[in-house]
Amino acid sequence: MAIACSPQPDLHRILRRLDFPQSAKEALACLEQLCLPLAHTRPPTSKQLDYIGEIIDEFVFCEIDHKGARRKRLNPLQELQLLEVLLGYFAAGEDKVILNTVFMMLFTPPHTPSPSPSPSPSGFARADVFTPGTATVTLSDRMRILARLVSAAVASHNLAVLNCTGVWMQQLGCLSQHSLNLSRVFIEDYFVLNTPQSTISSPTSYLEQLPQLAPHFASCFLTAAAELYGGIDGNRSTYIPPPMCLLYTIVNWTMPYTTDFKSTTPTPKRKHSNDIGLLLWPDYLNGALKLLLIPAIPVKLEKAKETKSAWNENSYYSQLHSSLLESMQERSVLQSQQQLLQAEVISPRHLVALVRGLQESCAKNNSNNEKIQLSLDRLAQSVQVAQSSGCLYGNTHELMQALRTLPYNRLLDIVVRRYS
Amino acid sequence: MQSQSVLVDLRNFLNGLSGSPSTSKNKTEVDSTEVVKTATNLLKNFPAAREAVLFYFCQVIDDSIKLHLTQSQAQNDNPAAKKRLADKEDAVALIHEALSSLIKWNPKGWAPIISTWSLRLLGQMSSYHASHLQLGRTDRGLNDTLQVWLACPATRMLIDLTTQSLEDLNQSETGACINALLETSVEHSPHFDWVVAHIGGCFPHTVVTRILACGLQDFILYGTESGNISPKLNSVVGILAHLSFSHATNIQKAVLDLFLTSCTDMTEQHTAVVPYLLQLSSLSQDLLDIIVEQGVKAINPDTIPSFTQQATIWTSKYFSGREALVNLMVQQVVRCRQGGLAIVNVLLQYGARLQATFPREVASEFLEMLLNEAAQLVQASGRVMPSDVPFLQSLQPHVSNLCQMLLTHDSWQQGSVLRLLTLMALLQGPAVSNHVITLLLQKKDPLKIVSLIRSYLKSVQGLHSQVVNTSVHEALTFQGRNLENTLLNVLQLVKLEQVEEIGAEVKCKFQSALNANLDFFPGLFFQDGQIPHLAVKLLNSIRLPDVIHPRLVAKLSYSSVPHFFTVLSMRGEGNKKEAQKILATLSSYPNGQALILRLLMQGVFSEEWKPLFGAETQPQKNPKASSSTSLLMQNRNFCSSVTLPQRHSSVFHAGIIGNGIRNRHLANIKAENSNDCNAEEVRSHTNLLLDTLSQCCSYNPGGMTQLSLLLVEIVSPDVMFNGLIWPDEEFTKVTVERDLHVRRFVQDNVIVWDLLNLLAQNRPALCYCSVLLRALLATLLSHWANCQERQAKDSRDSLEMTCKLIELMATGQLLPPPLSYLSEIICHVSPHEVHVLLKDVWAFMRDNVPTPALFGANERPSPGLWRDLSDFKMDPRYTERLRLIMLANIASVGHLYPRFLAPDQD
Repeated sequence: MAIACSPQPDLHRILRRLDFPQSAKEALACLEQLCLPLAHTRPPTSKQLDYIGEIIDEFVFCEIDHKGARRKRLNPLQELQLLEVLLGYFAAGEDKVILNTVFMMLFTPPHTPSPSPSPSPSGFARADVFTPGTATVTLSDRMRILARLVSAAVASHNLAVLNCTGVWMQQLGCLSQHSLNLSRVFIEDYFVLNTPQSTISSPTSYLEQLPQLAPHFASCFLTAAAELYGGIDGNRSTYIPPPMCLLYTIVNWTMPYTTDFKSTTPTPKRKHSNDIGLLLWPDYLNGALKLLLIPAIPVKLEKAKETKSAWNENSYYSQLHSSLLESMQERSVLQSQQQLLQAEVISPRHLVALVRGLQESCAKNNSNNEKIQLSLDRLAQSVQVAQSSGCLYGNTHELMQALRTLPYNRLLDIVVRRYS
Repeated sequence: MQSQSVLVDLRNFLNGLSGSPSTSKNKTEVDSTEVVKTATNLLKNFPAAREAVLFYFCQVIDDSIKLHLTQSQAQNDNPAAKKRLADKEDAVALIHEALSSLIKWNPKGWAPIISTWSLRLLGQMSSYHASHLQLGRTDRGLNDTLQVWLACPATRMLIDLTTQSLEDLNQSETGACINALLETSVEHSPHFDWVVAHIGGCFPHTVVTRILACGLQDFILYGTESGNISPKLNSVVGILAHLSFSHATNIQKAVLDLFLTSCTDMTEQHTAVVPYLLQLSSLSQDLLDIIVEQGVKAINPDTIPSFTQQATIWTSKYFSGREALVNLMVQQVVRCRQGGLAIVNVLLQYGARLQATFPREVASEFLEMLLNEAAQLVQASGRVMPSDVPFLQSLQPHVSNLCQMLLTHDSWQQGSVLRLLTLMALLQGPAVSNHVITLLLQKKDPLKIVSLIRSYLKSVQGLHSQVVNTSVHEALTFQGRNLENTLLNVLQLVKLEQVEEIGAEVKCKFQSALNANLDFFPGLFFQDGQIPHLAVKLLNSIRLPDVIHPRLVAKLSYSSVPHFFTVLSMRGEGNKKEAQKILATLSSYPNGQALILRLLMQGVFSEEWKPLFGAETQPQKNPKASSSTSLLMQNRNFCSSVTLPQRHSSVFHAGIIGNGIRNRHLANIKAENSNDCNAEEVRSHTNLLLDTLSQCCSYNPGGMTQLSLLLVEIVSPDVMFNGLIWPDEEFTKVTVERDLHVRRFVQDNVIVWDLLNLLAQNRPALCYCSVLLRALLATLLSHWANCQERQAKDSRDSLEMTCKLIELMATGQLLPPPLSYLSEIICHVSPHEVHVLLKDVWAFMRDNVPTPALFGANERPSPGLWRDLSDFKMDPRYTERLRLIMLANIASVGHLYPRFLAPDQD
């Protein structure tokens, strides 16, 4: 208590005697002590915060030396050592709240959302984003370490870290730049580079169980990933399809049928609806819808790919579509119980934006008629289900207007006639 | 649990680094292969450790390279060092295996990461050890460096990983690798060049395409900042320039593709292409050549609209206005060493009058500026080498194409090409102007050509004074159709020159050029078609030099005389006059006259030409009869018959029986059907010939004498008794065979009479022909002596000949009156009386030798000499019988009597 209330320069001195990985370990232990009172009762004073910040900067991340001047950044090996220390610390921790507080202290995001100069106004040039090996390039040191930590946590099954990250993401917003960056690193590590852990062939992989083990993180990640790949807002020039295994994993996570523990344990969706997912759910739906509609348009299935994999991909999208519709249907069941919370499940405004993007894509790719029809079919079905289940809340007039501008599709035509 | 094993691996790995790597001094002591194995596990199972593992691999490889280098340089056999090296190399091999399996397993994901990593590492290693490498030798070449580095297993592994990445990726996915290549090359050039060379050589197409694309990206990001060129772009240029030596075709194709795709739409990606390539081309000469060549290829009616649309963006975004853009392009084009012709072609094509306004104005303006720029360079002070203006130099092999372009109807195109050729001539010396004029001379359409040549000459004559001489020389050496055109053109040029004799703008004279090239003309006379006629015309139209080498005169004569006869056989008056004129001109040269006269005379009586002058052609001997004749039988015939002296057969040979007059007559009738010369034509030919002869003779008073001697030489079968003196009449018995020969010759070649007439008119030339006259008179004497007719006029042919002969001698002033009038009365008297009269004539001639000395200067205004016969008193010896005969026939010739025998003579 004394340490926490009156910051002692002794602590610095003690810690300075230690070498790097050891000092970080000790510093974390001290941090826990310092955060203890903050976690439960009072809001911290700025002085306390500064003190904690100094310790973190100097001893955990080694960003400044004892005079407060900036130090050279850690080399990759040292970073790895730091990761090991952090993993160990969080794995050993017991009090969730304390851990969360420490986590937030450690990874308070810098004020500028993206520290390194970045060419495109939206944060990153889309073409760069998905080039392997570039995910961490534009991140600040600390965000990079966080991203690595998450990746390491998945590899080492460190649930504490994942849970803290879920909270962290939700606090910052799943669609915030930081969350998106984090998700990019995660996707790169586990879906693009496709290390053996996440291969499709191993059904019991840890990743597949992630929604059950760390539901918070999983849902945040889902939302961010849908946003990353479902970009249809028009200003992003080229469409980049999500990696197959990402698609597969998402389908797996959201399909109620494929998981045999549906009856025993709550599916991810139920979990969402029950405690934490509600805030995120509309965003996810929106993103998933984008994810679903876009690939149908430019479908860039290269000729090199065999028909089998093309078929696979198509079937994934169909499954995704089905799960989307299914979850919207379930909404209607829950409607009576939680009327207020789901008030704005899907905003018609989002859908209007989506329709506009779709329209542009159609105009650009007028050759691929079959694909456009498929996409329009899906859109029509989604709108229909959303309308009937009450997921679509708000003034739908503009949406119907927008839908009329799309190329002709029989189903869409019926839906529009019915609801306008 | 897998997660536990991962953590164990992590701990092992960190421990294996023996504490903090930043402080450790003895990490080489650790068994690196074990650590590497752990690291590869981590790489697969613990993505967060990827960077650390790769960092560690860097250290291992660095160590290995260092060891390798020291080992190879020291050449020592330290077993410990050897073992360390072997250990390291084992570790390196493990790393290679691990990374390469990762690439193979998931190229899309791993290849960019690994290739980037290995390229950066290569860059660092190359520049770090560069000084090391240089120790051995002062200057290592690129290949040498390549050898050294490839000998090192660690670097070879890195290179292998990079090439494997490039191999396993799709064409479109290599962007990251190439970007890394470029960035590293920016950072570590020139030490990194060997890597670029090696990889570029392995995948020329990929590397070139991607490098261009990466450069384009960079240009789009930073290109607008004018002034400084980003180092990445420099590196792009460096690499491409390096590859352009061995992989030019790849670069060409890539550039063309880039051009063609750029005009598909208006996105920034595409609008930036042209400014970008312009920028590249300004940085390297090799690229400039390729880019300009391909750029020109990309211009066609389909692409122009879209390039035009883009141009507004170029000028507003990348250049400070339209002028700056055009200026830059002009500068570039002037510098380029290839494809000049294509550029000119395109500009001319789109600048042509019949094009729509829009591309025309741009093209014409551009060409104008290009020419101005080139002109400035050419006319710059100081000595300008051809290589200083590569654009013009590149056009040199295409002069003939440019000349072809001159022949358009478009005056703008013509003017532009003319200017271009002028510039080339000024820059590259007389060879070009010679070539141009030679080529032009060979083109058809004289009117256009003449003005072209003259305007071209105006601009180049100042520097190249010999150009006309040389090019005429060259043009005349060609054969066939071109030669005909050449002659036509030169003819026109010469005519123009003659019109504007004084104060002409064109100083180079074709006349003098032709005079210098007269040697060619004899050959021209024997060409086909119009060439001989044109050559003659040309010769006639120029003023031939005062002195021509006798050999040349001879050559010209030998060729122009046959030409004259050929022309006679054709229709058309003009050519004949020309042919005549050249002969006359040639005769004016010493020794020309003699030669021409001889050739003409020989020609007139040659088998080939004599039908032109009405000569009787020898009847064709029946080829069948002659071929069936057995020589043996003929010999036997001769042997069986006895050849007696004093018999007809032994005295003279009167021909072959069966080939006599009747046959000949028949043959003539037959021939008349096919004979192309009717009397009128023969007349005109003869007149022309006589005219020609007299013209030829006019240059020299002895000409006619020469002619008559020639005639004698040709007609008379031998040289005996060819003197002027008429012998006793009895002597004709000796010469009877020769006389008959002469007579037959004259009968066959009626032209002889005309020739003799000509000679008679040009006194005293006929004197030299007295042998012929004598022979004819002798035959006539014997005819009339034996004639059985009642009246002389019944023997028509002989009477006619007699009359002709007497008149001829009268004209030649060989016979004075009244003998000269004999022809008027002989048709009224009997053959015997004719014989008697002719005997008198013979007697007169015998007593009065017809010598030229009798002729004196002429008092009257007519050419030739004159024999003064006014005081001549005819001896009654020669007229006594005449008087008696006239008296005997006074009834029919009475009215002539006073004129023949004046009263005072009685």
